[in-house]
Amino acid sequence: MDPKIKTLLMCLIPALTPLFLFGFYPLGYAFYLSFTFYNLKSAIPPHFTGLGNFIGLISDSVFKISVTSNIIFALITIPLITLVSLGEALLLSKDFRGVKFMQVLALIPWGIPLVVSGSIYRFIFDLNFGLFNHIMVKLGLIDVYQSWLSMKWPALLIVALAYLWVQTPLPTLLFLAGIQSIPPELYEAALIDGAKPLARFKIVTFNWLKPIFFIVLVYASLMALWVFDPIYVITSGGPANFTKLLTYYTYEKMFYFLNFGQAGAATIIIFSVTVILIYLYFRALRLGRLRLKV
Amino acid sequence: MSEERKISRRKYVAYAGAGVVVVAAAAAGGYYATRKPKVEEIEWGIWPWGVELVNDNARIFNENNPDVRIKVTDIGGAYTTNLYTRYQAGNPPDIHYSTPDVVTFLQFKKWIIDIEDYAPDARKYLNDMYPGVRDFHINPSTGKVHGLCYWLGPYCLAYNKRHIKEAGFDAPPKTYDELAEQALAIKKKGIAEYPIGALWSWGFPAMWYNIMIGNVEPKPGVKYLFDENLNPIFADKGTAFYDAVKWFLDRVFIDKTISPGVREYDESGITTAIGSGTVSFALAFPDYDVGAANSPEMKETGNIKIAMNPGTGYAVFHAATYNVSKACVDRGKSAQQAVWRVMEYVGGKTTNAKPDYEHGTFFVCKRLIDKYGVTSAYKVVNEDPTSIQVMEGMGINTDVLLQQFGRLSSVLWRDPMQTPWWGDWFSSPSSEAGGRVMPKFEALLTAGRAPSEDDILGFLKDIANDWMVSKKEAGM
Repeated sequence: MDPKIKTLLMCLIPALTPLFLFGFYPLGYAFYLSFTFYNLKSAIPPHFTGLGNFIGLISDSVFKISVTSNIIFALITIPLITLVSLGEALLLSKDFRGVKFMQVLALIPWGIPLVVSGSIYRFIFDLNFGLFNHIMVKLGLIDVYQSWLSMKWPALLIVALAYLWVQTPLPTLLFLAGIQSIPPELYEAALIDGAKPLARFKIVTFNWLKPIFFIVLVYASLMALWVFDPIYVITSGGPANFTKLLTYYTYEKMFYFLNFGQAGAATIIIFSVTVILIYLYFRALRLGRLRLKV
Repeated sequence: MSEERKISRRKYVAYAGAGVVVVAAAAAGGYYATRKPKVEEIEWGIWPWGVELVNDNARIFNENNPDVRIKVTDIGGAYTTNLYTRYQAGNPPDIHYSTPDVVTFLQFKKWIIDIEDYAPDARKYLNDMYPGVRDFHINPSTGKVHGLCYWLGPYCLAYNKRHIKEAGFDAPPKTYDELAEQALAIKKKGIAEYPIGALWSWGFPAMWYNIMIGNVEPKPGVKYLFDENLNPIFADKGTAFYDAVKWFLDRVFIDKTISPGVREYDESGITTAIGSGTVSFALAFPDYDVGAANSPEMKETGNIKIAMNPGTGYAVFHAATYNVSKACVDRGKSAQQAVWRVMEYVGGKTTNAKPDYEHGTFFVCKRLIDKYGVTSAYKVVNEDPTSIQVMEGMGINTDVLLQQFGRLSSVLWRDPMQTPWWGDWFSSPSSEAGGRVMPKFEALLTAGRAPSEDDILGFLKDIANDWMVSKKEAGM
């Protein structure tokens, strides 16, 4: 072996060891499990089952609800994260008194663990003592306290709110960096050409931020696929499985039903979607680099 | 000269050899004379509740038993998952707490043993228990005692004495129809918007069984959900389960005395709800939580009482036992004897932390009730005057509680013969996860319209089908 490559490999060992131990090995094992009948609560011993686990998942009504809910969740949160963070970034890019303080304020939720955010939102929407019910009654919008977390759509929206609160700051930061990197000459040229504010946004800002849009979209998609903590804390997947998104479904299969085979199959499905999204993410990064070269 | 030297060397070697032997013998003698007796270490796996008391109990045992040492291990909040992981990895604790579904699963995997196989005296403890809870401590497959009691108490009907009095009633309801009537009166008087609550999460199966056995007395041969071959028998009109579901949904959609939000009540949620006067009745309420609902910071302190389960008066119970891993007894006679001594200390009778069935006391069980008001399967523990004093001090009406202990039924844990998939199906008493039945019932509960009889039948048939799928997957 080329001594240079040998040295390179030696240097990579410390970095690659944990990656193999805690990344590739569990993934490989999940792959193995996904083709194995492995149910700890069954008298049937583990055995190769081909696509049996995947077929089992597809025929499971809860899995169907889970996939549908996850798509709905993504459709709600991805545009919201993108638009809210863009709006925030546009606001924070302006030069006005207190903008620095607002920039710090906008980033604070990023430091809040999703579990904490979830607990706060669970309390806000509590059936008997929730602040939201109190305000709604005071405003005369409802007569009696409502069980928001026992209604399918409100429950999903509350999970989305708790999630958005924590997930918006990073895209805001990305957009803000993008906006601040736009050369002022571009705006000046657009002004000379008589472009109005909306046209300036469309022609200069939007075009310049296109790669960042793409990155944010992929990031928000990944996060929507991986969301777990707020569901665990706020709804435990209810009511009627409506907020049981894919990761929570997988968690239940694995640690509650002890059906390792089907949990492995669900993991492989999540992993496959993740790979596609990561591929898109890298393409977005490449686009971004090309833009910077321009 | 050389001859003399030769002899001298031989002698020298002989003397040196003898010296070595003498020194080695002396050293070995000294070692055996001063060697400490072998100490058998028993790992006691607990969940993170009352840890301080547990450690103190272990300390007392260790001080009085120099040849056995208890090592306490907190298995963690995700108790069941962590425990199963340790079993699967081949490294289980020697003795640990088990809720009934955990016992069933571990028995199914043959990971725990029947303690009676190693300590025939274990069977004597059945005589100290309330009659209705004895068969719960017996392995239904082998007929032997599997473990001793950690705690045990009824799922009660808790009620607010002030609320029912203001609504014009002198006594708590005697039947489920009376319960519906009192709740409606409370609602109409504006005392509470949704007077009936329930422990949902891990009380879900108990709530259904309490309603069913309240309406149909649990007698030998009476089956509620399954026949002897584990086939569902409930998916029809007129079954006890159908009637229970109908009764519940009528309260939600006709009387509106139960909120669809009842599904949000976990243990602390329902305790706070009844303690604050938000609900007037709590179904499937653990007896020891009556103390918490009556705590001074609660609005309704002193008003929360226990009623006998309406109807027949029989109620089901929550319980936890001490069980011993097979891995422990496989270590040999010494470990078997040591673990029984530990089990008898934590769940049986001892004097100075040493086994004493004839004259000893339930030392650890008594400490649990004295400190936390946590009741036991043993009559003598609950009915001890100091225990009664402690519980009364917590606001628990012990006259009714003890009467309820006399009418307990283990049908919750024995009607379905506790299969390993039972908890996954109905919801686990040791987990907040909802199983198969709960979300499907929630679909009816949160549909926003009163379900028809066909809807209820459809729900029952659907969950019966789920049961059969789980049974097939389990290879049974």
